[in-house]
Amino acid sequence: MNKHKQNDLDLKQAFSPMPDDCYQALMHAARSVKEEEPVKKTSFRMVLIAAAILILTMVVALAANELGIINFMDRFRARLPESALDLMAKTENKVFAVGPLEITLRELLADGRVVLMTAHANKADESPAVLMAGSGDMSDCIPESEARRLKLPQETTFIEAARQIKAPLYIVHPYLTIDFELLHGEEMMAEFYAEDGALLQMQMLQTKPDQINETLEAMLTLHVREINPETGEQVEGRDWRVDEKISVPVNKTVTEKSYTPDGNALLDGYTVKSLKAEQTVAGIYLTTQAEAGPGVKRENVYQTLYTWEYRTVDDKPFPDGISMSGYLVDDAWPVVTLHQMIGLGEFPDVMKLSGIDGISLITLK
Amino acid sequence: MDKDFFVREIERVNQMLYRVSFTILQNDEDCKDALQQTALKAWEKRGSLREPQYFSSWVTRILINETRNIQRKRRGLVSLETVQEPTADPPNPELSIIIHSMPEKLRLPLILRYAEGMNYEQIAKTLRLPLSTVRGRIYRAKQHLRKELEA
Repeated sequence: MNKHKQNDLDLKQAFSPMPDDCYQALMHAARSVKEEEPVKKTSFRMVLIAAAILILTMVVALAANELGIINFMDRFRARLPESALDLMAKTENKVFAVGPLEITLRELLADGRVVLMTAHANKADESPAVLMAGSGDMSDCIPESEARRLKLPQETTFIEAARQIKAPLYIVHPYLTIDFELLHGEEMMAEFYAEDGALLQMQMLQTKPDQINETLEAMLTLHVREINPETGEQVEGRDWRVDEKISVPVNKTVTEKSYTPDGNALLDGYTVKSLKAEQTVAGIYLTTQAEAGPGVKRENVYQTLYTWEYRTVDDKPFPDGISMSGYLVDDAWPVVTLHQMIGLGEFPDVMKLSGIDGISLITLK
Repeated sequence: MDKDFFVREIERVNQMLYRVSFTILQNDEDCKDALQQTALKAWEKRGSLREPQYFSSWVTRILINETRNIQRKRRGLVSLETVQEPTADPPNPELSIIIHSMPEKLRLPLILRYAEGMNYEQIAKTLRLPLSTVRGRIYRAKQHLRKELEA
């Protein structure tokens, strides 16, 4: 199939028409909505609870200079080993002036398989502004902390927030670019707001370990655009960009451990053959090899294996690793290879693997 | 946004919403729940739609959030029997099998591009992914599709 033909491909052909009961459910719900605004009744008890929550939130709220990768971990239910956090904390915090903003390269970590970067942006002076992450959209609602800071309803959008406080909206996009050939699949970005409106953004790139040396050459780009809140358009001439070449030290040390199934290795119709665990500074990468039994359908492989989860001997799931994009290779069907990451600093002696129903378990030692 | 406009727009995009929900959930029962919840949630959040012409990408994003909620709820509860085939045959069954056996992270952007006609930027905004990620995923999805169609 040539490129032209693929662009002409109509993938609607891959779908059946919508079943009638789905259509009825959708349209019934759409027609059932009421025009009037719902009246919210708030009891005094509710006000007290809300106040208590707000106070608690304020107590735990973080100042801008305390923000770091750790703030993303709970949100993603992931964990980085202490050694990785220590290394990231040693990153030289270089500050860049990008238009009216100061952007600080806060943390960097590379283990040959992932590169993690956090950058912190704040207004250089005291004047009010609304900052929005480059991966966001002006019609998105502002986060809770920003709604509190700006004293606006939580459903306010970024553009509306800037309009209401009569301040500019800045779209802030700090990112690393590396040689395309070194990239291995996924990239992820996320943002976190400090109580003062400063914005911490995280980027994670997956890299090919066999092609990464002791140092990774990257381009750090810091891009800021000012949006006129009244028009939603970029203000002419208010677009700033800093490009800086940086060398990211790569901690490539890897230790390996092999696990073998203890007794019955059958899970969801697959026989688990082996588990290789590789420890880097960022966590433990797991490679599971399994073979499908004769009755197993290949088209169900993703639905099945993506529910597989490694657990402790007490049957609790391990925390996810920072590289959250597990993937599956089924080119050698019926043999399949599942790649996952867990956020541990040392190898567990025993791991359990739970299957699709969450009940079947196999033990690996 | 008034109710007439809302109902008209939902009617206009109903097939697209079904395809997107099926792309993620691959199960008509779950799609039904997701679609129903999406209509209710979209009406609740109607204040956040600033420009009516962006209704379809706005409601798609709400739908995707709803499908994620359903996935979270059913996590660990799915059995092979509940992963259903569509109730009717799709016009191109071979294409359907290839598409639906792809990982979701490749399948969804591919469908948004080549079934729903979104451009890369709209997909990036809808999926809240960087543009470069969307490009990479669609590139890999097309490679996979090409390989499977040629096989």
